[in-house]
Amino acid sequence: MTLILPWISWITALTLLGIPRQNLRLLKRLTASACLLSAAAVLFMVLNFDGRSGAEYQFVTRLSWLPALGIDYVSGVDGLGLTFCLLTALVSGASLFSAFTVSDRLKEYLVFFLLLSGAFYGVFTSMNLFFVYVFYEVTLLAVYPMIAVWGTGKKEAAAIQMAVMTGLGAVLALFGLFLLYQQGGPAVFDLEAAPRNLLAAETQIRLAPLFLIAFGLLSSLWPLHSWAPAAYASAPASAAMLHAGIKAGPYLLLRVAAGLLPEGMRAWADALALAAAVGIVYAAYAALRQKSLRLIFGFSGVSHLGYVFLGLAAFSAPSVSGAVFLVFAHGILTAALFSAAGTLSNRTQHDEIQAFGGLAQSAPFLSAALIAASMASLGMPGFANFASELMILLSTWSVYPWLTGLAVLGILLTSVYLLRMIQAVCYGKAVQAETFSNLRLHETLPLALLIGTLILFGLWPSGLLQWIEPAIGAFIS
Amino acid sequence: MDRTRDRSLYLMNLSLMLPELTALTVLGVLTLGEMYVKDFSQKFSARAACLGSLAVFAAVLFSWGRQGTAFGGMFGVNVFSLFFKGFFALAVIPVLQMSKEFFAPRLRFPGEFFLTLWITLIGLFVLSSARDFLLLFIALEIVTFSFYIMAAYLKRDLFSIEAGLKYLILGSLASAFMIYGISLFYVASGTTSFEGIRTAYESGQAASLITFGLILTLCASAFKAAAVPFQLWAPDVYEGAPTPVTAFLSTASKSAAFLVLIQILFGVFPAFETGRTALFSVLAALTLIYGNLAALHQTNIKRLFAYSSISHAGYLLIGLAAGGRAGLESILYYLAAYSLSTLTAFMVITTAGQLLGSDKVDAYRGLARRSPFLGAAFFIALASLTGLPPLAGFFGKFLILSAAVQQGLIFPAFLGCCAVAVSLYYYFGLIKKIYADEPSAADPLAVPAPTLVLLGISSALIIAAGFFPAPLLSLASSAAEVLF
Repeated sequence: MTLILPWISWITALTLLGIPRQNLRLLKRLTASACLLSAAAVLFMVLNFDGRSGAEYQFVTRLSWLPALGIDYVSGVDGLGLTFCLLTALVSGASLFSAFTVSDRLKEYLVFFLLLSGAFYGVFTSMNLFFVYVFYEVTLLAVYPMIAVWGTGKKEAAAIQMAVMTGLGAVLALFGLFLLYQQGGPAVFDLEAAPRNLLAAETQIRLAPLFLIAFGLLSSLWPLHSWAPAAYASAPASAAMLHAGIKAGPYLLLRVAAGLLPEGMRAWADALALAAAVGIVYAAYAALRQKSLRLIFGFSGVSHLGYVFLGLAAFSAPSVSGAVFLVFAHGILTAALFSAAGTLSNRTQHDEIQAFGGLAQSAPFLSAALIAASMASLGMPGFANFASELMILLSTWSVYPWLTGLAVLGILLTSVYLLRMIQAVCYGKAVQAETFSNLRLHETLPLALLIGTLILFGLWPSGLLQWIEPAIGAFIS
Repeated sequence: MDRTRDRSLYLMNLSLMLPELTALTVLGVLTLGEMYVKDFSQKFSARAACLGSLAVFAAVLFSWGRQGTAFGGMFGVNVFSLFFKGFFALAVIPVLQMSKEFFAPRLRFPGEFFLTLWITLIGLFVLSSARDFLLLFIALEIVTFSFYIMAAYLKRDLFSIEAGLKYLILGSLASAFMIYGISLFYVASGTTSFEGIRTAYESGQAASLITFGLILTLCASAFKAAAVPFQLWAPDVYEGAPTPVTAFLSTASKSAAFLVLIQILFGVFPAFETGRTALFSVLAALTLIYGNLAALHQTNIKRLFAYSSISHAGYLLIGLAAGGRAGLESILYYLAAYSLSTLTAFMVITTAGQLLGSDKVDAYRGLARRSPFLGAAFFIALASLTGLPPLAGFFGKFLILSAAVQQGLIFPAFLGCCAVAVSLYYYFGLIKKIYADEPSAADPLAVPAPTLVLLGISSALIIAAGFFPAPLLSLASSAAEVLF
């Protein structure tokens, strides 16, 4: 089951290449059915997943790939992988709608779209680190042209900055994998066996900073974050939703750094916590100074990831589970925000919050969704973000009281910039009211889906935590 | 054992030379056709040469697994030499197609160019089998001489003449180094055969003379490989030479250089291990840094590829420094993957150069809009050269860097990883140009059918070798095994 997940998208991408570009209807149908089929596969996994043994990999398939080097293609999911697969299914389904609004060279765009979503599935279902790396690099290969070609504003600079910085992160991770391989042979790459045969604590402590920097670059940890806001501000909505929503960086950090180098993580936790807390406040302050809607969301994303890293740094079972929960919740939220921002800038052809206004009158649904998403972002109870952030802050409080205090200050700043944004965009005199007169289903449905998910897991956090907690328990113990 | 050696002394063991003999026959056919068949040059020569290279490849396949020596041990055949022969025979096919496209409109008799190209191929074949420094030198000179001619082939083009002259002068210097080194070997050991020199070196007689000779021959080979600090010729020659020649220079000639380096370092001087690791780690680091940094701001696409080819030599040098079976295997895999990607890129460059009339990077703006196929092939080739999975180039880098880390060469491997991030900047910059920018003209480009087919095959191979590296890796592995 898990084996075919990336290939559904990739084979469809290959099929699209053979379809004439004028046949828009067929191109869209095929893409949509690939997304639906993958989502159905994920749903099947969700329903048949044995939650009690969430720490174990399930739906495992093993293919011999390169016996000479001892690398097999093994796929399967544990509770952690399943959570991220669900995130991928939801976000790629929601971003599909805005992908269809691309007017220039839709065929190529959809090919890259499918390549990207398939690669994310691959990252989360691979049980061999080599393939985790390979699939991750494909996301870079796919998202670069999506931003450089179909983006807006300073797209080329943003795309190349992102490519070089995340590329550097990826090759540093690769270098780390070589060092792991040198220490422990091909068995190190096997994620299932890895927690049982860990390296010596000394080696772990030596290798951990390399992985922290590498995955920090990938997941825009302060001070390595500078590519993220710029790239997401220039990306087309669906690319930003996919890449910012499906956060593979924290996943890799958790899988590799926490899973393979727990002692190393403990040794460097203070540095990570400091970077996380400073990042929360710094990025929130930066968001406060932005005029463009998508830059605000970009910096807001960097700021919220700080909580994730803080949770990881505390390295206790509840804090890390909370961090994973927050990655999920924030991923959904980010997708919702970029979807709304995409609709706004598509219709008005600009991105300045001061030039919007009165959205509550001209487009009540869009405005309500934007407000709901902002409320979720600043930690209103009832949304999944609140539950997860609470989990993190409660459990980091005892370990890092000062830094947790700083993080709480970040929430204050978050409410300032989000309320300022809402005030400018939703209230006041209605500007360009006629442009919003006919909101279409493809603009509202994804928002409803994503915000509905946030509320669902906000009211029923154990729905996700029943998978996350056993998987994390296996890491931490 | 004795009997076979005796036979090889007196008989010439001609059956071992099947690929060379086939190549000579093709050369004869091409020459005669040029002389006696009307319009052979324009109409048939490229096709005949193409069929010829397929025949030569078939001969290589037929000889696969055969082993032995001829001409008193000067000429040796084993899986290693056959690997390179098969590689050269296949690499020449896209070059032939490029040359046809490039020279047919420029020259009345392009057939003569194919003859020169074919002589290069024969030189490369002999080089693969040389087990004696004299034969090695002669074969290398055959190759280099044909390259002097081919680089200056556009005799009315100043850049082409400059390229030929520059390559001639600096290449002769390298040849002088080589022959001087060989003469030192001869002085020290009284023989020029690989085996004799190896025995002399390992017994420790006249070690300083032999070591000096070794350094000289390594310098000469590093020149052909365009490794820093012997890279000065590469950018000018690559830029000025006709595009198909540049393609051949950056693949076959570079591979030949590494073939020679492997023969010298692992076939003749395996005892030079510590020196090799230190020397080539430094060379690799310099080459990687120089090639990547200089490639960042190039405006001519051939020049850009010259610097990129220098940086790829850096990776191969890391493989040499690592050594061992894993290192050699990875070099062979890398050479194949790099050449495949580079030839794909150069097929696009040749066609686009013909159709756009320029080799400026700026002329490639919006290429994908005017020809989605050329754009896609270029995208795949560039991504593979960057080293992104799941393409062939990634796996080459993976093998080389992993072999280096296994051997404890942490710093060169780290540099190699960082260099990938730097190369992202210029390769992705090109991808941006062809996909994101607006083209200067909107009319679609008409790509010749054979080029389309070859581009399709080579792009598919790049992807296939990334997804399923096992077959090529096992080939490389059996070739590398011979030297241990």
